[in-house]
Amino acid sequence: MMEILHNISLGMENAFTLQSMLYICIGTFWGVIGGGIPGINGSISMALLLPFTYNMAPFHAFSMLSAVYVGVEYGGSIPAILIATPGTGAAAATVLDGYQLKKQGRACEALLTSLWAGCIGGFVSSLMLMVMVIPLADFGLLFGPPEYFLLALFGLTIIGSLAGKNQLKGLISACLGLLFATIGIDPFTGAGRFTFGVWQLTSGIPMVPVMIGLFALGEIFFQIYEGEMVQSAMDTIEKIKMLSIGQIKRIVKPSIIFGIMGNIVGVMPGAGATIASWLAYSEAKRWSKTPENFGKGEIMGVIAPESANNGVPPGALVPLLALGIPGSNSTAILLGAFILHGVAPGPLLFVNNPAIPYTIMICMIIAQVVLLIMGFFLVRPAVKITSMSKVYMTCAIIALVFVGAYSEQNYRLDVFYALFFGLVGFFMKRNGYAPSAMVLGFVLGEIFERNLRRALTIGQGSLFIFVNSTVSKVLLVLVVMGLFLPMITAAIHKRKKAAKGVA
Amino acid sequence: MRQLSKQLDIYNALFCVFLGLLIMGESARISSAGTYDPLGPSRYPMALGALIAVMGGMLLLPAFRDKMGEGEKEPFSLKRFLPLMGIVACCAFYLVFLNILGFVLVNSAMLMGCAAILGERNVKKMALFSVSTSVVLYILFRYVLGVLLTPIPLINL
Repeated sequence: MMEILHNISLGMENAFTLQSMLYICIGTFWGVIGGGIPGINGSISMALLLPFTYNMAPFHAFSMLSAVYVGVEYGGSIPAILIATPGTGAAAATVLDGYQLKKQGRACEALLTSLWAGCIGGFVSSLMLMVMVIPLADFGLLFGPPEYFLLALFGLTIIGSLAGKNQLKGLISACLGLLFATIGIDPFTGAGRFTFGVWQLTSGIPMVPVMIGLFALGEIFFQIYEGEMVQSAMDTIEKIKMLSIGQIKRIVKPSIIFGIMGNIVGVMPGAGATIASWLAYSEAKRWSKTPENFGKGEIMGVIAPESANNGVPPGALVPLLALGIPGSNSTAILLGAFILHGVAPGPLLFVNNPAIPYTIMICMIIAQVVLLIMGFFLVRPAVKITSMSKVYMTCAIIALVFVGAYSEQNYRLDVFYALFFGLVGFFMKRNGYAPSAMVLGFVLGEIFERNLRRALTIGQGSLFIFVNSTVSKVLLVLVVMGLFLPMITAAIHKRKKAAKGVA
Repeated sequence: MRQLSKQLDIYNALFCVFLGLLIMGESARISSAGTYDPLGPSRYPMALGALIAVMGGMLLLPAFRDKMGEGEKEPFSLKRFLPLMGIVACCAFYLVFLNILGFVLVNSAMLMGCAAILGERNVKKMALFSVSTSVVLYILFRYVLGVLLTPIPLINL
């Protein structure tokens, strides 16, 4: 314990300098902007800033890059709430209720709630990282293919609640999402699946165009068809004001819980913020006394995914710092920065140079505070941007969606994907299917199939592989609960209502 | 309207059944040679196809039981569909000509087309908005974010 405290003091010494603070501010701002632009995710934002760190001291370089990582997660929620376009994959779950809140004229409340939830979640997760970096690294290693498969399956149990009125259509949407994720070269055998001889399909369909197509373009097409277009923010948004103490108090508890959840998901290599936010959304809905309000502008639908996805970056640093394994694209960029500055992450880092990991951890905590302050000033211009006329707003979103889809890989085909999935989203919405269930299926599809097949290969085809470890047993129980608990509670509610009716 | 809604639900269900069967057929053609993996590359998508087909079949039941369709609340309107088709045509223009005419020109043309379809009649305002948005997006993405957008016409030919 004393050693940890000593290391923390070393980290504070490095982090609380004027230069470090400046780099944290730049990094956070850059992260928010990067996250706010569809198609520019955390790893791209960090990669773009990487060359600027060549001549910096390692402490400053790492503080700036970790601040970018923090800023990106909040930035993604801004377009998700204002224009139904998730800036990052992790913000996709925020669209469901955030955009509904915006439509009700509560955009400012949604943005500030997302800010507070994200900062609290990130803060708690950073503290957790500091105290539990070593034990958490061991926990991350307990996850093998069966556990990852069960985790993805657990994530898929939310489909029932995303499906809307028709559960069957929700399940069909999710199956389509899972199916789209299989397109391309099979990573196990090299066989082409559903490529129809088109070589461009061999690398599969990228996530960003699918998400912004289904959510943003689908919504815009639907509104054009319905004659609504994109609603003008000025018509509906309330006067920009801060959250009350009561509102903040209501955010704190769930943000802590989902921040911890985000941290745990972040520890698992390959899981990432997208899965964390969907899991948190699903759990928030399951635990809620009013689950029927989710998807209609429930504030908890913003708090849960935002605190969870902001909780992921500190968690994702665990395998990198403690084991030298980057668990995500963003941490891979950070690993690149480590190598660039001649620092080798891994168990020996805590022995040879403990100041570096603890400086990063402290910087992440400072970045949360900087983000909270910066966020207040960014809410007003962000909301103002969406207050332009409906026609121009719609046009600007279409342009942003296309350039966002193009920018991830500099590939014109991605624009086609965005347009195609926009039309798919429109027809799905028009016919009562659930585009969000399809996105969930698509996001979890790869992890789901890859780990199912890996697990079955390890277990030589035996299903007992899924009950071999304690972690998988716990996850299996959660999956069963996730599947049957909503049915049981619905049946109980129905019976209660019927009893009241008789009385 | 009720009859139409019911019909659309039947078409929806039949489409799902057809799609599911198509996926199963296509999955059967995937080569599984040389793998120790018990599932192989084809069984998982085949199972998904089967699920879609079965669920599509299940969708048929309520449609035939004369229940009100859930998806379509109003009849399909060509009049309302036309502006959407116009917007999609503008998007298709963007897609085809992006690398030929350059980002600024194509994006401006697409934005002007979309704005005109959505009811904007002030040409000057439209042109100003389209060009300024395109230039700002170009500068942001090309010079700040390093995205390789084609700047001027015919540079890629």
